[in-house]
Amino acid sequence: MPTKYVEVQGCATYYYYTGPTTLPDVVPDLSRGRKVILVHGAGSNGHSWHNQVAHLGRLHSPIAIDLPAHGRSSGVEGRNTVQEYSDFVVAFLDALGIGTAVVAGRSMGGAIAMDMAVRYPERVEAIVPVVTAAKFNIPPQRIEALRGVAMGRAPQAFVTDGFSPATVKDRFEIVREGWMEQVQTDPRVRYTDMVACTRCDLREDLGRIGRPALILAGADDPITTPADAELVHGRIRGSKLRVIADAAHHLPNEQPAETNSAIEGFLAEL
Amino acid sequence: MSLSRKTALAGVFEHPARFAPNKSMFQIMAESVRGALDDAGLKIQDVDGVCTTGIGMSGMGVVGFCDYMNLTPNFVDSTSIGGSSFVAHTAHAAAAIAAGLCKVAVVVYGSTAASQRFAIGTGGGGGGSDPCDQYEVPFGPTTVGSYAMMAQRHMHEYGTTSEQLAEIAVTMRLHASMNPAAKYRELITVEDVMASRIISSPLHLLDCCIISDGGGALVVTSAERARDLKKKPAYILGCAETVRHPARGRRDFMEMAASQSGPLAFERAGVTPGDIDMAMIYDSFTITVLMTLENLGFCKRGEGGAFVGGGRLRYDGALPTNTDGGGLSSNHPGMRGIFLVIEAVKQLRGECGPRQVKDCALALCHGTGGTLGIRHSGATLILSNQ
Repeated sequence: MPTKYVEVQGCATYYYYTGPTTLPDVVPDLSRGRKVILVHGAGSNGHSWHNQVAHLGRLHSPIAIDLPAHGRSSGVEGRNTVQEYSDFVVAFLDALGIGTAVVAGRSMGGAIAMDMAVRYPERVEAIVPVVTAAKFNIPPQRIEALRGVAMGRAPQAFVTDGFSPATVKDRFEIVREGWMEQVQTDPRVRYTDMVACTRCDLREDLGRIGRPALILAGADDPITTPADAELVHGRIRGSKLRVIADAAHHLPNEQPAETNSAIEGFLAEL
Repeated sequence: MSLSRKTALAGVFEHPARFAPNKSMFQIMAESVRGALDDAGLKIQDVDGVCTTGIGMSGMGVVGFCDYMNLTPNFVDSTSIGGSSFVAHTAHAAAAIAAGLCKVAVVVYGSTAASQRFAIGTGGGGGGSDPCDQYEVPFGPTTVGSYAMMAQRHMHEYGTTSEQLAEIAVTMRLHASMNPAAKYRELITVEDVMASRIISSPLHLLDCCIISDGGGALVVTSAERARDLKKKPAYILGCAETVRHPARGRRDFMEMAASQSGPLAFERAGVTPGDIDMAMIYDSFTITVLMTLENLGFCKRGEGGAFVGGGRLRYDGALPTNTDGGGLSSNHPGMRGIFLVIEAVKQLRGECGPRQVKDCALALCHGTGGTLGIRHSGATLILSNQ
């Protein structure tokens, strides 16, 4: 999976793509099928989409980005709101000369995708909100625990509640991978991302979305539940909803084949 | 022959990056050299001396960097004595210029310690692969472990408390809050330091320096030439360096190199600790600052705990120390010596904005390299704007 950098809003932004590599500052070939921008969740990075980039790259032109201060993108501070992240992704599209794209996002990234469809409809062809919510319900103690990590009071707790019991039981390597992925980002950024998520409320805005939408949820997800997905589905006109079994908040890695075929089918119908 | 006021720092640059996975070590170094030369009003063609070393380069890294920059200098120095190296390089460059070996020397450092996930204080062993390391390495010391041992000993001998050490971290953070480039700028309290988790007893997380990317560069030239350049020169008044080792258990391991390099530098500069307007003290850990201040003679051995209290080290206190936020809060890309000199020069020029020390005319930099309690180096540099 080749990667490269582009300067966006003063941030050296790292992104994953498919196809032949190009020289620095030369945008890779994005002519296959649809341009699909994959936006990661809070405190994560673009590599969390590696299964999707590899698979979708056969027919389409997927790009997974590292948001500012996440993964291999530069800087030590993220953004304070979901809206600022949306502005950043739009600036990323500008930097690569992409007019419109399908925007898929996981968790916080899903909120970014929905917000882009609301505020930048001319840049968004369709959206794929994955394990996300119009209004995140993050328990205050979870935020407080992350604040403790950011302040150095506590080590980051190893928890498995973002994964389906089936994943924890049979495919622990997925849990391990998820852990290794999120430790690539400063815990302070993860904390401010979580705060950005709690500030975000898109419930009243979703009715304005006039773009095709495929909503994906994990049946076992306790963080953004199937009920959260139902609400989004109910408010985005004409949207499709798929609830995938034996998956939770790390759906794209827990059930890559199901996720890939759902997205691929959706793209084929556009 | 005295070196005093024969040479000066004509240009300095601190690279603003704190996390730059898109840059290489040499790139950060090259950008720093350009920044420092711009600051001085000089060109790369003027450079005929290069001093560098680093944790990311080999022992011959200076040669590779000259290749990267297409430089063929008349003077090179890659003295590698840990984080203090760049303070020593500045002294060596000054001596070389005074002796006519070169005319304009750059001292440069760069590192991508954070984006390459270097484990500096805890992950790596607190020792190298030299023959002498056989006496410690098998027992698994870490860098933080050795400094923690010093803190433990200081507490045992003199009753120093964790709260007193925390005061140092709190002051550094206050300074960082006034430095827009600092990595950690949110104010903290003594309680925050005490509540942060223990890394190696008695040192808490917030007693330890951070890990960042970054770099910086200095331009050293003759005092005469510096006076004709863009910025007000920072004259080199005195310098000294040495090392300390436990002498197979026969030396008090709380005696630092600073106890030798400090008095020597003061003598060469013709000043006393009481004359110093601001100090830049290598702060790998809070205990390093406290013990260095004692060993340099700012206070008596054992009095450091009381000395650092009461806001004395604040930018508006009696001995403003590490006004950029230090390695504890601003940046620590593996080695920090170069930033000590950069901030001191900026203070002497009056370029520090809200954290500017009033009437700052005489500054002291002291770098500590290696590991306290095992083997370490110390380099002291005294600078003045007059």
